[in-house]
Amino acid sequence: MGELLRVENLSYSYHNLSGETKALEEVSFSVEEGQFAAIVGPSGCGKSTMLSLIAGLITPSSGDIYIDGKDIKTSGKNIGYMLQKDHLLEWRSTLKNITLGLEIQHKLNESSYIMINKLLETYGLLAFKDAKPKELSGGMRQRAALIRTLLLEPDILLLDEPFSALDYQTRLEVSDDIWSIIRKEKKTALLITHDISEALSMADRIIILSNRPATVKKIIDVKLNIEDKTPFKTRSAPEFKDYFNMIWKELDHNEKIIQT
Amino acid sequence: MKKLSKRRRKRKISNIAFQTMSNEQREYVKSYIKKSKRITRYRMLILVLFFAFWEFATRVGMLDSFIFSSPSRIVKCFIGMSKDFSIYYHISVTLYETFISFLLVIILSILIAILLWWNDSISKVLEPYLVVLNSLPKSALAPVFIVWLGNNAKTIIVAAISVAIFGSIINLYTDFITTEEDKIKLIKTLGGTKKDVLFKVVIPSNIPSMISIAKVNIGLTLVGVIIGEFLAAKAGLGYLIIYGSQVFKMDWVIMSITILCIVAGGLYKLISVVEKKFNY
Repeated sequence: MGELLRVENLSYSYHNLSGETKALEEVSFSVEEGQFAAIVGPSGCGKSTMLSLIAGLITPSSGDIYIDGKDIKTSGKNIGYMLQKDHLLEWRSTLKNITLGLEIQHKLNESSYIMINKLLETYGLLAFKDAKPKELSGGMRQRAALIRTLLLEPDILLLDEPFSALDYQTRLEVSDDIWSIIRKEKKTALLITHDISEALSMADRIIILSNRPATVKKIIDVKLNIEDKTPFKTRSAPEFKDYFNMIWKELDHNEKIIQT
Repeated sequence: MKKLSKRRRKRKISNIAFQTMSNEQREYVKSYIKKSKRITRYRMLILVLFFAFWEFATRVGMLDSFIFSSPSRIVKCFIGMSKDFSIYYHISVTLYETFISFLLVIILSILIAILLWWNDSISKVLEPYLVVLNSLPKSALAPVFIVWLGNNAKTIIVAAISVAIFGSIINLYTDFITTEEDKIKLIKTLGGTKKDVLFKVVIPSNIPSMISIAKVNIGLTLVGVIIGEFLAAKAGLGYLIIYGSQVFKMDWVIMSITILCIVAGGLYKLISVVEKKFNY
């Protein structure tokens, strides 16, 4: 297992007429192949900007991003991106939504339906393939969105707070769901969240960012002594609380607010 | 025959559903049906009272039927003009001109709105012109069109288009640029180009707004066609109205207006049918 994603001295600024806003400053970290990494940081610290940079939607002011040792500026990148909401297009059926990515990349052919049907069956969506998205439950919608992304066979999955729009109970179920799918498909994933326990429950490596402009405060490799790790079980691991407090202290912005 | 049996079947189904309902639900459905029936009744009542009063007032001499016409005179006039098919000719001329202008308005405004959406600079440059042209009273342009294009259907169609197109472009463009940002981001994260954003998200998500614009435009183009026919026509309902008023044939004028009411209602209904098909 080698290094899959490496981010080096990444900086990014937003420009508008009232001035320049620094979002990221000299951020460096890496993610191993097959690892589930999480970026935590206070709201509005530039976490989403980070993902947009890695996905190549915007270009950095300075710094480099390497996937599999290749600079994303020159090599064809293959990145899966999951947004905050599932964004299934309501005028398409579930099946048509799932094939959207393949359709855009002109990769949809007879043989892709074999894989699609297999994925739909494994993840309990086969009966709903002709249903409109509004007939699906919150969890099913997220699964459909994940399958849509997975069909493009990405090297790395970027998850931009994909559970934040769900209520707490659904959120726990769906994060278990999505986590096990990602593990089963042996994908490398990078999740961003402001929820410490969510990050801890899912990730092997946690990158803590500071307030804006974001810099890396600390990188923690999470090692828990439990069998059959799932996000839900992790929450009751004995070390969970210690890790939680450690991250909480790093994100000490709340303390400052109380003091002043 | 077929229609009747279909309707009967539908009623039978709803009867079965009705029997399986709880009492409370049944009461609710009953009162709902009662209310909507009452509304229909009142609607019909207004229409009947209006025509009855009109007919009565002209019969007893409260209104001069030479100036105000009367329902019976309208019917007589219509039957008279039906015999030589002249009324159908006038109606079909107006409808034809309306449909042509309507289709052109819809096609042109979609194409132009796409162009403006595609190129931000063009839309910024053209914005003040569109705003001014939209607020300009288009009837002021009609005489110009006659001079340029002649006393014919071309003028009428161009006049009708000019009435509807600018507002339609502005509305459509506004809807296009307010397409949900995240849906556009989704297409980009899936590797899509601007063309994919247009065809996979912007256009399909704006079909309801296109239909509501079509609803407004079918009325507006009819207005434009009538304005055009007032000034430059040898046929059509607008021509009949203006000619009738000049030669004091008020029966023609009032009959044409009545027909226009029916035509406007019919066209609106047509778009509603299309709208139902696209409901998702």
